[in-house]
Amino acid sequence: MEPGGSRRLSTAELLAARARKAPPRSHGQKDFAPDGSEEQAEKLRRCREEQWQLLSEERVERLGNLVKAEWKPGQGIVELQSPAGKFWHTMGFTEHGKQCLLPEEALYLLECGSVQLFYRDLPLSIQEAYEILLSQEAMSLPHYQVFSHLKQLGYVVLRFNPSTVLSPYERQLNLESHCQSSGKHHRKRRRSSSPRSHEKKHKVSEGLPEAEGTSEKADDGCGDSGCLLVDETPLLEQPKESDGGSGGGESASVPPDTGEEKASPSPSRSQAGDHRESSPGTRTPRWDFTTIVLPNLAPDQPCTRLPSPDKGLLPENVPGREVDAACWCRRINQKREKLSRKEREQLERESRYKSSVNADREVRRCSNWQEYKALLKQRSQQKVWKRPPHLWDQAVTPLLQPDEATSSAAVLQQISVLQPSHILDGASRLQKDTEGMTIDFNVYQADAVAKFKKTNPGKPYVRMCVRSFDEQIPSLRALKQVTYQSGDVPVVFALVDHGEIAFYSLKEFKLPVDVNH
Amino acid sequence: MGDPETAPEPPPLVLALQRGRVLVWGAAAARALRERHRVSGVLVGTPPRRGGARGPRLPLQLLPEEARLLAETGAAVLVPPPDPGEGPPPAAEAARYAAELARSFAEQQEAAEGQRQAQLQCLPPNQRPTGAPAAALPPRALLVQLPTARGAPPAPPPGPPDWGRPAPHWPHGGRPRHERRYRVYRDLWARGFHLTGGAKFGGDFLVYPGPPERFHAAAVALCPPPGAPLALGALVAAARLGTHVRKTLLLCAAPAGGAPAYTSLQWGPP
Repeated sequence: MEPGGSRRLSTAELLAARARKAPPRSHGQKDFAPDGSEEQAEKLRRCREEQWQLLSEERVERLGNLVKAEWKPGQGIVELQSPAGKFWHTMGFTEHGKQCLLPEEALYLLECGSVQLFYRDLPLSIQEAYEILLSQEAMSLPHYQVFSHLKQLGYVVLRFNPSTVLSPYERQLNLESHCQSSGKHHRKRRRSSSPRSHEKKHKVSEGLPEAEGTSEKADDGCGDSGCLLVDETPLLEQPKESDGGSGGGESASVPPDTGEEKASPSPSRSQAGDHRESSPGTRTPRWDFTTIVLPNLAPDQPCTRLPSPDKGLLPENVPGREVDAACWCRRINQKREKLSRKEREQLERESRYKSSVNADREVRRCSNWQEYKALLKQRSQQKVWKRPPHLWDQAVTPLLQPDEATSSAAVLQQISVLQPSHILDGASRLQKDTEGMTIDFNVYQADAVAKFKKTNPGKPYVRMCVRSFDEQIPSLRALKQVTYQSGDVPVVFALVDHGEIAFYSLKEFKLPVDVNH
Repeated sequence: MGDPETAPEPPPLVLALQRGRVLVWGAAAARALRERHRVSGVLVGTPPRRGGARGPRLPLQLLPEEARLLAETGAAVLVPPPDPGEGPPPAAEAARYAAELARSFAEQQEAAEGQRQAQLQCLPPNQRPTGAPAAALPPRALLVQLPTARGAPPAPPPGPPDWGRPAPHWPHGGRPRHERRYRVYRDLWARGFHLTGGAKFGGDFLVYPGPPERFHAAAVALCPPPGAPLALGALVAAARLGTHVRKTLLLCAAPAGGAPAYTSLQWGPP
C-alpha cells in the first residue's frame, strides 16, 4: 500500500512554507500531436514539475489568522470558538447566541486557510472534512463544488430557502417593499433564526390566498420562520373580515367561485361570541360585527347625529365624543352649480351616449353578482341569435365576428392556430412534483458584496439548481415548477460532471409578430 | 502498456471513495496516476487565499471509469471513508496532538531567536542592543499546518467493490451506461491514448494523443447505447461541434463479448 496521508511538516519546513513564491504559470500554446521532439518533452517536464510543486504544498497559516471552529455532528453545523473574521459579512448565522457556519461554508473557509476545524479536540484534515461534512444528502460533493466555484468567482452564495420567496400574488400586492421595511423591526428575531429551520417548511403560496393558506401563515408568524409573513397576514385577511361584516343574510347568494373560501371560516364566525377559545388553527375574527353598530351614512339618509362610540373599541389615548352635524348642514352652500359651456357640452354628450348601469331596470333587479353575470351572459347569447342565419347557422361559420376585428393584431390573434406559450402558463396549478429537482442556492452578484447584507439580502442575481450529467433532462413540468418557485429571478442549472462544472439557463424567446406590413 | 516498470511492483495507490465519487488526496499518488498510468482526473480543491491564485489544488477527482480501470489492473485500491466514530474523543490522540503542537511552538520560538541572533551578528558591534532580552513571539504569530490528507489512510476493504451491483459507495455497479463507457474507456486507454471526461463538448470522453496538460484533444468520443436509433440531427450537431473545435467525432461501440468498433465523423462542406 502506498504510504498516503499528509506528512507533518517540520519546523524548518513550516518556516520555509511561509517564504514560498508563486512560480510563473505560462507554458505557451498546447500542441496538437506528439512529435517525439526534445522540445515537447522538456515543456511537458517543466509543466509537470511546477504542478507537482504546487500540489505538494501544504497549507501553513499563522495562528492569529485562523478562526477556531468545531464540527457539531448532531446539528450538522460548525460552531465558531473564536470571533469570526471578515467572512462573517457574507457567511454564517447565529444560533443560541453562538456564531455558526453551514458545512459548505466551513469547508470552503478551511480550504481557503481562514478556519481551523476541530472535531473531538483534534484538527480535521481537508480530506476528513470532505468526508465528514459532505456526508449529508442536502450538501453532497457536487453541491459543494458548485458552491466553492461560485465563491471563488466572488459571488455571495446562500442556501435557497423556499419560504422567503414571495408568491406572484404577494408580488402583485407589492408586498416586497412592505417586507423590506418590516425587516428592520424584525431583524433581531431573524438573525437568531437558523437557516436550517427554514428548510423544513416548504411554503410557497399558490395563486390567490385561500382561507387555509392564510391560517397557516398566521401560525408561522408565531414560529421562527422569519418575519416576512407575519406582517402580511392582516393585509390578506382584511377583505374577508369586511365581507364578514356585511351581515349573515347573504349566505344564500354566495357566488360559486368564492364558496370554497367561505366554507371554512364560517363555523368560527357563527360562534364569534367566544372566539377567544377557538383553537389556534382556525382564524378568529378580530371584531364581532353583530354587536357593533355602524351608522347609516347613505345619501338618502340625512344622518347628522353620530352617537358617542363604544369606549372598548377605541385605543386608550383617543377620546370619543358625540357629534351633531346638523348646524353645519345649514351652512353648506346649496346654490346650483354654474357650469361652463365646455362642461355643459360634456355633460350633454355623456347623457346621450353613456348610460349608467344603474339605469338599466333589469340590472337593478339583480340582487348579487351571480345574477348580474347570468344576465350579461343571457344578453350576449341573444346577440348571437341576431347574426345572419345564412352565415352563422351552418357547420362552417366565419372565423371572426365583426366586433372582434378591431385591429390587424386582434385579427391575427383570433385566427392564429398556435398560441404562444409562456414558461409560467399553468405553473401555479401543477402538483408539487419536481422530480427531485430543487433550487439549491441563491447567488448574489460579486460587485454588490460591499452593499450586501446577510440579514436582508434582497433579490438574488440568479438561483442555482445543481444537477448531474448522469441525470435525465428535466421535464417541462419540472422546469415550469422550478421557474414558478423562483419567481422573477432567473434559474441557472449547474451541471457537474465528475469535477467539471457547466452552467446552463433557459432563455425565454417570443417570436415577433409583424402587424404593420 | 505504459512505461516499462522496474522489477519491484510499486504499492497500490489509495483512491478515496465517497458515495460514488473517487478522490485522490496524495500529491505523490496524483503524480503517479498522471505519469505512470495516463489517468489525469480533475483537480477540484479550492486554493488557499494566501500565496496567490495558482489554480486548483488537491483533491484530484477521477471518473468512475478511471477508478475502475486502476482497481482492475491492481494499480490502486478503492477505500471507502472510515466510520466517523461517535462517543468520547480519543484522549490519547488529543494529548499527543497537544504535545506535538507545544513542541512545534517551542521550536519556532527557538528558530525565531536564532534568526534574531544571526541578524544581530550582521550589525556592527556598536549598534547591537545591549542587554535587551529576546522578546518571545506572540502566540498569534506561530505557524500551524492545515493538513490536506488524513494522517493515516484507513485500512482498505478486503476486495474491490462488486462491479456488477450498485452499492452505497459504488452506485455505478451494473449500470448499463457505466458498463458501456467503461468498455470503451478501457479499450481506448489500452491503445495508448489519454482520456478525460467529455461533458464540456457534449461527449462521453475526450481523447488526447499525449498528456492533456500539453496537448489538445484530438477526438470527442460518444458511446451511444447499442441498438438504439441515433437521431440524425443530434449526430450532425455533434459532428459539427467537434469539427468546429478541431476534433473528430468518434462513435464508439464496445459490446460486452465482442470486438470494439469505432466510426469517426467529420463535418465538412460538400
